Amino acid sequence: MSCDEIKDLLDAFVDGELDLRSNVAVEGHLNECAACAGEVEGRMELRQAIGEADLYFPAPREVRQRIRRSLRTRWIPRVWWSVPVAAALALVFVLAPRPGSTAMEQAVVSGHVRSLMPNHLMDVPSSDSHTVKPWFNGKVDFSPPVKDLKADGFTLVGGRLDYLQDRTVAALVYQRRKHLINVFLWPSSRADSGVTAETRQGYNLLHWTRSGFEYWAVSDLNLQELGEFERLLRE
Amino acid sequence: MEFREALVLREIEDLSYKDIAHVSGVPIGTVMSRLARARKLLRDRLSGEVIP
Repeated sequence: MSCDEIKDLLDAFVDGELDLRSNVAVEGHLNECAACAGEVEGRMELRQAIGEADLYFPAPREVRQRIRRSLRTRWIPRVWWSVPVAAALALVFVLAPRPGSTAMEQAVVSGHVRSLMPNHLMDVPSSDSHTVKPWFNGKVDFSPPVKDLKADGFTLVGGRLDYLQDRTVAALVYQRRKHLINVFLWPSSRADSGVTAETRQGYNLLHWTRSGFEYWAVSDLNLQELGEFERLLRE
Repeated sequence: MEFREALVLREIEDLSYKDIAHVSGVPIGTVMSRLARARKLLRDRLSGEVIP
């Protein structure tokens, strides 16, 4: 590709929005072309300058209240999406889920991230399913199925109680190499379902319902191995 | 104005092109060209400040 063609792609390149093939093409070109590499560097410097400029500030209280009030009654008309309220909208973005997401997915990811903080992962550290399962007795009003999959490379490392979307759930923790997998489960009256996969904030999520339990598995493990894990749990 | 909107949503809100397009109500191609133009304008202005 010529420099002119590459230049058109550089903004999408620094934003990580190129498809794989274009991305490889741009990277190859940047190794050989100092001028284009300089263009990229300029964009990165600009990004850094913006990041350091402390431009993010919360909207004044009155503006915030006005937006909240209008949200309660109706959705904001499109004309409102203009720059004078961008700062205030920043807040709305923090509060409202991004398009295509559900509150439950967010809760599952949050639960996973929370569990990774020091000393939050396990209430019962044990690789013995006969220790983990009875531990839940008296703590939740159900007895979660606990399976040891050590032979298949998914080691049970423990369990704990967690709280998702207004209910107490059991969390089982498995380890695959350095990757931790949280399995959240609770009784459900829903019919058995197939697996749905989602990716959120870099974490892979699987969701399914089986034998009266709703399951959410979340991990930074790749989707393929996480799928394998789910199949083993199911068997 | 639309340049600033695109840049704010991209650099400060960290939205994807798809989400910016959704918020601004324009196609993704427009988002891309606005961002390119916005960056150029801002860089020109900033470099004007440093080197008078």
